[in-house]
Amino acid sequence: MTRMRIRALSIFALFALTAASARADVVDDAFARGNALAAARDYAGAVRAYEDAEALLPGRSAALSFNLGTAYAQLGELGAATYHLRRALQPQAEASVDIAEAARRNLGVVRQRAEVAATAANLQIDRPETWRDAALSALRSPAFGWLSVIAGWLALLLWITRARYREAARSALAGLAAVLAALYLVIGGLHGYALRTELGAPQAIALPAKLEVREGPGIHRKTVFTVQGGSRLSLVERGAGWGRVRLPGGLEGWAPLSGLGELAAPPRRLASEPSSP
Amino acid sequence: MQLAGAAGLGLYLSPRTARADTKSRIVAEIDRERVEVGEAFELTVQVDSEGERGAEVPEPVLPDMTALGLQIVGMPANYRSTSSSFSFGTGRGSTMTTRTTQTSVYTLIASKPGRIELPVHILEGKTKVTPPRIPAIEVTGQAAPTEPVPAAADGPTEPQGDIFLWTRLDKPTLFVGEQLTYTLEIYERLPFLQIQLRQLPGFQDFWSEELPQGQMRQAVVGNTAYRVHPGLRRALFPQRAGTLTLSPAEVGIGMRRRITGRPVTVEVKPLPAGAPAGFSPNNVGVYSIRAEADRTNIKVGEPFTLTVAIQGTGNIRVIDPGAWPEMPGLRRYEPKIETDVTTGAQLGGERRYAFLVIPERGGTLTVPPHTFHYFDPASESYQTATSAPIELTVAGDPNAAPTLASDAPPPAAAEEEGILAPIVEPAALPRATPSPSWLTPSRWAWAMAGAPVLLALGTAASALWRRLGPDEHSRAAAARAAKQRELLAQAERGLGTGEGFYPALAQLLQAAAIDRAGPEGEGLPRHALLALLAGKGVSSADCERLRDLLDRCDAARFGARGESASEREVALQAARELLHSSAALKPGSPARPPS
Repeated sequence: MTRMRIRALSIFALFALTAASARADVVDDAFARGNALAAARDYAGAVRAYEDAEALLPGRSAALSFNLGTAYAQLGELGAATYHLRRALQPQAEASVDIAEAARRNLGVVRQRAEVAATAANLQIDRPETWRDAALSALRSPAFGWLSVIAGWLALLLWITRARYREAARSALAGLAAVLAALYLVIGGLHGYALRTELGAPQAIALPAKLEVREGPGIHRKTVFTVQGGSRLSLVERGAGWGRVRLPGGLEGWAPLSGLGELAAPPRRLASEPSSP
Repeated sequence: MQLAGAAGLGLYLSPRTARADTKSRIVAEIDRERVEVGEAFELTVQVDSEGERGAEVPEPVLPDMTALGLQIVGMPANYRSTSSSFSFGTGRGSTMTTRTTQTSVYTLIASKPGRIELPVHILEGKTKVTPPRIPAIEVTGQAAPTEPVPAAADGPTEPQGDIFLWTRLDKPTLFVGEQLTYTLEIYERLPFLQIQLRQLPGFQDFWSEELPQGQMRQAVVGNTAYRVHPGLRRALFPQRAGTLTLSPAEVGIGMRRRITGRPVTVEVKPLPAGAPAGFSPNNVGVYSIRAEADRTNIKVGEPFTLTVAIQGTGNIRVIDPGAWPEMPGLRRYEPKIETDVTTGAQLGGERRYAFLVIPERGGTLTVPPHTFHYFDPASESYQTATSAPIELTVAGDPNAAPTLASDAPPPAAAEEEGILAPIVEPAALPRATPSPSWLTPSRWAWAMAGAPVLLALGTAASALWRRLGPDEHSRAAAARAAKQRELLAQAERGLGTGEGFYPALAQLLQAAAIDRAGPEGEGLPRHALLALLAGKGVSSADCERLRDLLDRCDAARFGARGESASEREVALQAARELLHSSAALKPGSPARPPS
């Protein structure tokens, strides 16, 4: 009976490994094909190959997102370039130091181009990220969540068990409990605020070169302003195919969801058609 | 029979009513016999029409008012009334007549003196119906002068009635594009109410800009004192050469009077020959130019703003800066233009052209000077203003290839390939499988809320325990009972071997005796304690048994005497009896008087 079980497990593991390696090969092939096309300056073909690889990839790859964003930047599609370069810098992508540095550099170049294009065409563009945005982004990390929870429960534990300690140790423990309680309140409050801002209005990137924002959902509604592609928007409300977006400066309106790339959502295929292998 | 008669009467009456004939007449009258030029009067025209209900009333036909020197002010006031009547004749049945009266009231102003007749009429079919009396009015005074006069910079020299308009121009001759200041003033000798500008003067051949009006002042014309109201003040820029006429303005005084100014002419000279190349006829005035960059230390591809500002006096809104110079190594986009106009005695201000400029190569680049030509009417000569060049220090490759078009759209990506970090080409695609954090926002919220909730519950339970739980005496009694149970258990454990049996038993009995004796029993020698117990109601037999047991314990602990297990069993049993006897050592036993 035991031998039968081992045999069955071996066969299952063989099948599973074969499938995984085959899938990995397809992703690597598509990635290598994209690299070859990019080296030949066929950036449109490279984009299609990279998006094939991204569609097949079960997880995330900072290198793939970086190459995709860079290829879009070479094509002059600033919205898609910003979207993928930002995805390359997300913590989930686990970018290496080199890739993160290169992604930040290219993101800066793309941002500069977007600012020039917005100034030349008199379009709205989001303001550059401030220290507040960076602080909120850092405060959203789970580490601050764990820190606040552990501080709160430790403070509670010290408070409950204070009677068990000697008189001399009680004042020190009370001070420690107060510090932990303060950490619980301050860090927890900031982490909660950061989570609330993210959950209440997820960040999205304007994908087309010019995203028309209207006063209501529907193309029959009047255009209130036009946003430069690559601008960062907050998606504050969703409708059928339309979302109410807000620029960091406060301008609000409705834009088609097809023109928005949500950073927290699964990746979107932006190229028109998949490439042929 | 009666019904048939009524129906016959109805049929007999109806055709006669429908066939009633239409007949109209007109009456016209004027509300006064004599007015002055510019004074308003009312013409009332009443048209009566008889016929069917709802029939149209003929509209009155007015004569050519302009030819008569009259002007209709506003829309006429119309009134309409209708009345019906029946007439019965012997043997002819009845006739219904509907009479409609249409009344129109026109407000007219005469512009020339004389007797004016107003032959109004109506047309009934092809028949012209005139009123029984043609209305007429006598207009006195003088007609407003229509011949234009040359422009004058000074005020009037002769009084012209109670109220009149005066036009002043600051110069009689000027160049095309030069500023001419037009001032309209209202001179009044008596205080008139509701003076309003009803018709603006004609500025057909001029570019017109409003200027701030002056203050009301007093003036003496001849020997007559007038109050002078500022009516209108404009900066005019002639657009063609020749003798140009400014048609007069018209001012209304309430609804009853109109006064008209006098047309004035001005001589406009063409610009002299010898204009420099690139000169625009729009640039007439006195101007200066400056250029500035918002920063001069920049990097390749970093945009900066170049502002070229032209300022001075003249028609600043239409200024033509001319062709912008080429800027080698710099890409320039279409400018944003802003104009700040200042309106004082002379129109002027500043017109700014803000360019977005991007350096295309590194090194020291120069924004070349911009040359601007204008015609100065004061010196009657062409002048040139030039901005200072701007040196830029650009960090980057000095040999980078420049782009071709200066006003091209933002650069294509391939042009800046060297700026972008290249794609990465690892042998195998590095990938990450993101594992979702256990601490989801909802779990974090629950965990955060749990600690204070637990603290609150614990605090509440503690408070309840303190309020509803046992008091100090009960807790002390419980502690004693627990200690007693512990010592008993220890003694039971020592039954077999004797180890620790008697110390536990002695401690148990001693504690029970002190507990029974109360606080005063603390620290007493044995005989005193037993006496105290006896005083507290413990029987002498129990006291004896207690003494005996305590003595045995002492003997076993400190003496050489050994005891068997059965003896220890007996001692333990005796101790139990003492402890559980309500008359002996059981805590809380009632005190009995000693026997």
